Amino acid sequence: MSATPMLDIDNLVIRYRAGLFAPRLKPAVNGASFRLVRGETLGIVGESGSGKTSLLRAVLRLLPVESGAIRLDGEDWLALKGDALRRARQKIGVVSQNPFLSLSPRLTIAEIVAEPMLAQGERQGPAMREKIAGLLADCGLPADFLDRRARELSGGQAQRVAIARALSLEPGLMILDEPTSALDVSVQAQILNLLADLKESRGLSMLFVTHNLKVVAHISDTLLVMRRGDVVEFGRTEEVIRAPAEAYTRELLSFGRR
Amino acid sequence: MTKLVHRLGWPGTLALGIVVLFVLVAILAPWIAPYPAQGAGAPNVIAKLRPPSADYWLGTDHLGRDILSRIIYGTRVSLTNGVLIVAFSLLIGLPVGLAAGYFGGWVDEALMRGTDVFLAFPALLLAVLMAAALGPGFLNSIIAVAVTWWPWYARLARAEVLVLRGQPYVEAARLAGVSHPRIILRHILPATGRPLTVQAALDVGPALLTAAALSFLGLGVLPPTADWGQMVDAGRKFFPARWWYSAMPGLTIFIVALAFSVLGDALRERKGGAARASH
Repeated sequence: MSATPMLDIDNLVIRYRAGLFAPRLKPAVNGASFRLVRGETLGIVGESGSGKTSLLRAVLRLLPVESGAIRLDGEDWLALKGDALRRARQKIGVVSQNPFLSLSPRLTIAEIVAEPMLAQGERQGPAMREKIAGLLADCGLPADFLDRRARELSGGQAQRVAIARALSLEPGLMILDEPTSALDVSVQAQILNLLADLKESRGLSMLFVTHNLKVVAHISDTLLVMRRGDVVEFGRTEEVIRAPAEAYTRELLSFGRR
Repeated sequence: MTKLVHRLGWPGTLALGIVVLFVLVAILAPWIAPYPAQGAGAPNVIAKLRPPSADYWLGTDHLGRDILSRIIYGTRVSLTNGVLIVAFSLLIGLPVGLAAGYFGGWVDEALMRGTDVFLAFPALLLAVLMAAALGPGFLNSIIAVAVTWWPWYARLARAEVLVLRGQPYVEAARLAGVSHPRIILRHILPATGRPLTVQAALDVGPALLTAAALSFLGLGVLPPTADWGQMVDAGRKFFPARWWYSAMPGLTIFIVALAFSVLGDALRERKGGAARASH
């Protein structure tokens, strides 16, 4: 295990801007600090409105940060701008909740998976097509999916395509935003197993956001529990689940068991 | 055919037929006009202001030219007018709307306030002012109308882009490091293009009507080129005694404008249904 963590977040504050004369809003994320060790999975749990999505969007640089620091692979992630940021984005692969919304309805699967590679200046051609077929195979899809469109796929298949796209630039970090919430329970398990396999074979670090503690207990090494913008718990998954320090975590856990 | 009727309804199909007919007439003008030379402008003074007859189905004008031939040749001018006005408007409006919607913030504010300036004037008045300032002529009248027309496309494009920009697949492209121009070309433009082209096709009718209004006021094409609006104007001096001179081109304008309007309604209804079904 290398010394620099994959992701190091220090005292991050995110606050949405209200109108010019409106009173300042309470921060959506209030001083979150945590680190994600290389090759591990960090689960972020919380009910809706807990700030987990804001935190995620800040890490993705979709949301401005009020204060604090984000270091990705030892680099000051918040300092990057413009083209440098655009190029650096290849270090992060993103999978979002609904694959049918996150895959363009107009493009073929091959075009969708090729897009990040083309954006980073790779050449189109047989070699790329081969690589895409390989990525699809890694995600458990046959090569004849290449020329199909997202709407012809099932939810699980489409999510596998989204995962293949996220992997196309060989990122060190995968950010997964409720990747199984839109899927059937049986398919959920398959996707979770796929993610576990990929993490193993590719040495990925993962940030896994969900409101489902059961799912996260299955896949993550460390757990971060958020409530109303505050980090209420952060520790090894087994410990948090065995001995939850906060009443809120216990509450979430009991929901998971029911 | 039955499928077409099912999708557009009878009035819509009929309107589509009329529009197609006029397009064919415009293309085939020299071959179907009874007196092609007169249609193109050659005078025929031995038959001045004749009423409709077997020789001259719709009568003749003050230079003895066959009005049917003039109307047939005028179809070319009018349809080209309509198409070019819409094309110019799209050419300006689409990029403005795309940029405003996609980049948002001050770019949006600046572009849309600029657009509002044009929308603040009554469209026809602005077109007349522009045409008067530029002087009469085919291209000038097109520019004059396009100037009042493009803000609508800018607004339409902007509205479409605002919806698209928030789509997760557009965000996914951004997160994959795809550049702005590429996102616009690959994701935004194809999706905005379709509703906008439908709208543009429907706008050919009203655009053509506005162009006819300009040439009625003497701000459109110059004689001897045949133009419906200009013919109505020229016939006014002989109205009502030689009623056919103004009435025939006037009726033509009426039919074409109505056909486009009915077709537009039919397509809009069909379009809404299709949009609901596919998303």
